[in-house]
Amino acid sequence: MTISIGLRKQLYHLESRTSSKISLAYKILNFYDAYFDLSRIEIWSEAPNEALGGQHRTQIECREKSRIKDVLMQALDIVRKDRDLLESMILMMRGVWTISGLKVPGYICVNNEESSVKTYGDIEVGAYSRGEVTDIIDLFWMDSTQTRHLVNDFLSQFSKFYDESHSVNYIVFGIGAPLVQPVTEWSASYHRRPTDFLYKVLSTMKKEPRIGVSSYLRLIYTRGIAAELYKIENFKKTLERIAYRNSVELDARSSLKLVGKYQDSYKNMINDLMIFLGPVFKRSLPEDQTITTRMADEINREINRQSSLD
Amino acid sequence: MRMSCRSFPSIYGPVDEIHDEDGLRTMLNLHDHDTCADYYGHYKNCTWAVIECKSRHLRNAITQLTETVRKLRTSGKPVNKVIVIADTFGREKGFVRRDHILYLKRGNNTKPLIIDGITVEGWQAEEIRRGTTLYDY
Repeated sequence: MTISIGLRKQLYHLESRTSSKISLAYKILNFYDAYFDLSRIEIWSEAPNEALGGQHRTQIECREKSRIKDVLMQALDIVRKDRDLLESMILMMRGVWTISGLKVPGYICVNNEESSVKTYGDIEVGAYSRGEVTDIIDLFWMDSTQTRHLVNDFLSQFSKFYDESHSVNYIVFGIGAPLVQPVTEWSASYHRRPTDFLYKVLSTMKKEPRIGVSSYLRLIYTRGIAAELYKIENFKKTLERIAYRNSVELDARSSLKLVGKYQDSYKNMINDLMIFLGPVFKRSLPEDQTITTRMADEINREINRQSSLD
Repeated sequence: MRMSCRSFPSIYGPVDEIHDEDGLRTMLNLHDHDTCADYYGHYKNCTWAVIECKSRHLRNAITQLTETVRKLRTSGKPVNKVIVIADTFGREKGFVRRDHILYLKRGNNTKPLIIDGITVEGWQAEEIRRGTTLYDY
């Protein structure tokens, strides 16, 4: 149910990384200014909820847009003075999304806490379920004209984000916590390295019994396969064709941007891609059992060779 | 829109009072920026339950349940059960479900997830659809 943004670390100083993340979150807040009304900023350590083991450190009310930057600077000041808090910080900017006449509570969240970064990204943009809207993806894909601004323009603008300590590695629009969901739950994505996207596709394929390739991919270095696949010109053309057929806008230069016109377009594209790649892998890669049988045979052969030498 | 469960689940048997999200928001006088669970209802076995049943994001579901339980109790309303219904559990790091109880996992430590003194239950939407509830046992 979130937009997860992962940043490539260029500086290893936690304080400047945090400052950079908060600055990016502020830019996101400005981008969604017409749709998101901030009400308060909460600083948590470990988790954004006491039941989840989090500690509520402070809360700053903030309804005047002109004060937001100062309030965020104030939050950064609080955090940077406490090393433990800096490492475990979760900064929640809570407010209300208003899209297509619907009002849904939501947030922009900056994560420093390690497991939160792995699950939800460095920055997470989300909504709490309300009525028929179960997540922000429902809201953003409600009206195709608005989707162009909320998703396409967002990806165009923020994929270019770069400062002295960060650049954007990926941006994923997906249901739930998209980083830990199968790629079939996504609706749009940007990857600085296209092979990261393919790696996610292959990881999803491994777990998809319908495709039946787990025994071909389990023992193979999946990142390596993803990198080699993307070097094949005809594969790129096939990806473009599958994207087009499923109403997914594709922009593949050095990076890869994919935006589904409808909420399920991306999912349909991934399903088609998996159906295309399944037989390719079955015909071109050795199955687990072939590899293990051959290894066992070669071990026996080597033992026999060495014992004949003895 | 994706829904795990559209109606109040009969996990603990027949129900004689249900408040959906709109009803809850009115009852608790919530603002648009306040989060709220999907249901608050009373089973005939005298159990009051708060339920989040469209959960695709556990961390958010727990926040919605926590804030609803606190507001209900502040308003003097009883709460005996806190329930999350989701299609799957365990994808989000740090959560484990065992015997319909949700646990928090931090390193090697696992402890029940507790909201305001109530252990949070986790049910899969499929279990609800199949009618595999404690009531049926």
